[in-house]
Amino acid sequence: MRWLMRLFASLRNASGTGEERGNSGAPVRGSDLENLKRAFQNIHDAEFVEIENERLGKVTLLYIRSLIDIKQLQEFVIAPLQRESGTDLRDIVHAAHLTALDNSEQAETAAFKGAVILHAGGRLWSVSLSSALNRAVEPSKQEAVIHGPQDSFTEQVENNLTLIRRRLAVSSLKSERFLVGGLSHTTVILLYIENLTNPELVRIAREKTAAVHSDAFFDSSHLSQFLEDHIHSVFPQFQQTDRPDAVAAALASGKVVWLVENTPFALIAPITFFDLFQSPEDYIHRWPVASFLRGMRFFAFLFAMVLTPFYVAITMHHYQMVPLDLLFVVLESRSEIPFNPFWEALFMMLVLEILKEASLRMPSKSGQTLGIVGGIVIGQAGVEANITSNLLIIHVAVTAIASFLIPNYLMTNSSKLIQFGLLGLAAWLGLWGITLGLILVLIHLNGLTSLKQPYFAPLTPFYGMDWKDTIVRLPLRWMPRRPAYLKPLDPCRMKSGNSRPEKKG
Amino acid sequence: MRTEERGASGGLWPASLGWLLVNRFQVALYVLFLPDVLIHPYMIWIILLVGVLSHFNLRILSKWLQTEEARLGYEGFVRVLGGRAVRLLAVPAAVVILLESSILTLDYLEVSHHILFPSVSKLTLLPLLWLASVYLASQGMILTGRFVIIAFIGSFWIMTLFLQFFFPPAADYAMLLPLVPQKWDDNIPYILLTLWAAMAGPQYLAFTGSRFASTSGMFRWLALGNALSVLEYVVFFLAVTLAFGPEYMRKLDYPVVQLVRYIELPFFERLETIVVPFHMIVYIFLDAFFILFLRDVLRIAAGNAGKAKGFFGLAAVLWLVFVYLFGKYFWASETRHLFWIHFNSWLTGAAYALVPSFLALAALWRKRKRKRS
Repeated sequence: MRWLMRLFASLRNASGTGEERGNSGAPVRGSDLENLKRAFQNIHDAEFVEIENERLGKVTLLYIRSLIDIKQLQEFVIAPLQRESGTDLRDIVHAAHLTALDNSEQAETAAFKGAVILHAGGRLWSVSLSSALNRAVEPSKQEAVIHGPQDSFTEQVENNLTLIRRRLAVSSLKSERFLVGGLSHTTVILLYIENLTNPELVRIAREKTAAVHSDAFFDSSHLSQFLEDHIHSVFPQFQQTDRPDAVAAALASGKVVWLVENTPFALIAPITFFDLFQSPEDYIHRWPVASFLRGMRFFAFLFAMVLTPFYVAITMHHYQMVPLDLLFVVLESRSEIPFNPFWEALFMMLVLEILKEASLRMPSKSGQTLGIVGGIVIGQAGVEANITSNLLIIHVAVTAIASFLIPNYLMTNSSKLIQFGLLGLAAWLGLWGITLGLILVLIHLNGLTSLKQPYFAPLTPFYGMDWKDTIVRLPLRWMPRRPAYLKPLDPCRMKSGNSRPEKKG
Repeated sequence: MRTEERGASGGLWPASLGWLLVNRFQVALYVLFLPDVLIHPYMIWIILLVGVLSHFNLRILSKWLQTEEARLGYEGFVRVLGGRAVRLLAVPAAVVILLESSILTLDYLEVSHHILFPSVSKLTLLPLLWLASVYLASQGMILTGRFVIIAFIGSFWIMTLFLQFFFPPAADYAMLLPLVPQKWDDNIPYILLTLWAAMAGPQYLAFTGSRFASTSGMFRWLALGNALSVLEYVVFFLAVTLAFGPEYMRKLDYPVVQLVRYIELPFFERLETIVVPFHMIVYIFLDAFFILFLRDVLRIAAGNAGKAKGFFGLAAVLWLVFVYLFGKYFWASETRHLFWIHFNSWLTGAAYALVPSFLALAALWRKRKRKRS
């Protein structure tokens, strides 16, 4: 009887009907299997196991030992293959992710994604059994909040998708999968809400993602550099966040999200300049408090950019602006300094940047030492050695603290670079130079786009209704509409989804 | 639609942008550097009178903007005036744009030089101003027009600094008298001309009809911008009159800027050092517009109006060279400044009076002709 089944199976391999091709992948040529074996050569943890099944005959298993869950392999694949019999592999292996493959290239990619490749009945199949190498869901370190949800994304893209789907439990939340990177084969999931997100945005996002060509992507920021509209801009055109609530809120407002494998940071687009000053906590605080804090962030951003250049401009070009009593303080503070204010400020700003960078790279236990060295030794000794003035130390310190108020880390770094540019202009042309520099930044922002949408909205172009949640955050009840600059298909966010009591029985 | 406009995210200009464009076009040259022609308190009525006249002129402009020809852009002008006439008119238009932008820019640089950098040549600042304007203009007409919102926010706040001069002890209300003149100033025609020129600028909008998404209800927005300009002129004029009085104003250069010097804050004094640089944003916006208009008229003059690209670099360089040479050879002395400011009043005043009426009448004439045929 067995020989008859084998004969039947081999005949089926040789012919391969069109229906079968369509439903469960094309029959694989013998050379494809050889190619696959060749591809797995010299990989010490690549395993080839052959199992004799009563009905299917010889089944070859190929997998990378370090990537799969051996226990599951034994339970769901090997044991059934040894015990059970059936005319089709699907009757024997009852794994959730049993997928027919078309060729050896697909099989190779799947194997390196943690799947077991089965060669049975002349076909290739994959069973996803990747090992649960994952860290626990922890609070976000990047965007920590005191109140509010405490979960954050991990490196597992599927888990991240789960965290989002739990918040947006609707079938209209669509997820499209892309594989990017010739070497890394990184899974990228494009998320949007159908019938809400502007289809034009989805089209642009899809096209841009499909057009990405590079060897390897190890972080979402790598991907964002291939997706952004203006590669030379200092301003981030994608929001990166590891907070599922922030991602869900972005999707619900009509934005597009990318989840990237092996990174906890999702990409959100399109964004505006003003989005980068928003924190998830803004929606937890009372609205007057949230509005005040948001205003403070904008003020801090401006302060961080212009305070030190302003000091340099005043002390180098516009002494007449300082009231006499204050002028005495400035002159006394600077009287022993051998450098002009520009070099003095440049030196201190560079020292501050070095200290900041060092504090990021140093082990946490050395942080205190760094604080003492930076704050006391450099600051105090600098003043005593007449290298820098007390007043400048205050300016630089306030600038550093102000820069930490900006919730977006990438935006903090942008402000640093602009600050150096303004410093040079301040030394050259005083307040005229600073103003020119700021105008250039504004012109730049005016022309910038994120996913082809205006970056400086709702200011230019002006969308009056969007100002309810920009510099101030008004009560949520007063925001019945989604951001107008996104042109969502469903602009109203308060017409559906009324809460209702759950009925039992 | 042009390529640059298709590429501009956020769409064409809404009609509501009209009030900002009118307002910033009008107040650029005169609001801070109001010429010392306005001396007597009763001249406040002349400001209001000219404001009303400008209001009627804007009505004509809005009529033109609502015509099909205005919405068609270059094709519309060809329909109204004929291809050859449009091409011929492009040459004097280029000269007018270059002259007006030169006078405007050099006057601002003169004030910057006078107030901020007496030891630095004013032409040193010119390339920097040009650089910023070219950067803005390179974004295209749609984005440049949209920048007016930023230009407005960046410069309108200056007016609030002057509000303190409306209250005693800074304000001496006796200085406002007589509000009804016993004898009119002999210089009234020149004052009228200067104030009319101070309301000029919106005539450039006559060439931007194709950039508006919709022009319905346009007049309402244009009138709002005009009313705001009148308010600004009145506020500035009243502030300097209440603080200085007519006699002292007569002896001052740039009385509005001089008045800022009297503002004291706990940390800063001499706020003109901040006000003059901030006013630059309006000039950068206007110069960017002028460069784009220059590009368009060069295209038309060269017979390449249908092409979406080209001539931008030429326009930008031509603008810089012209303004530099004009500043070097024709703007050297105080008497020449006055001459050119006076000339500019005539030039812009005439353009503001003639352009909207001419285009509206031409469109009307064509419409009637078409009906007859």
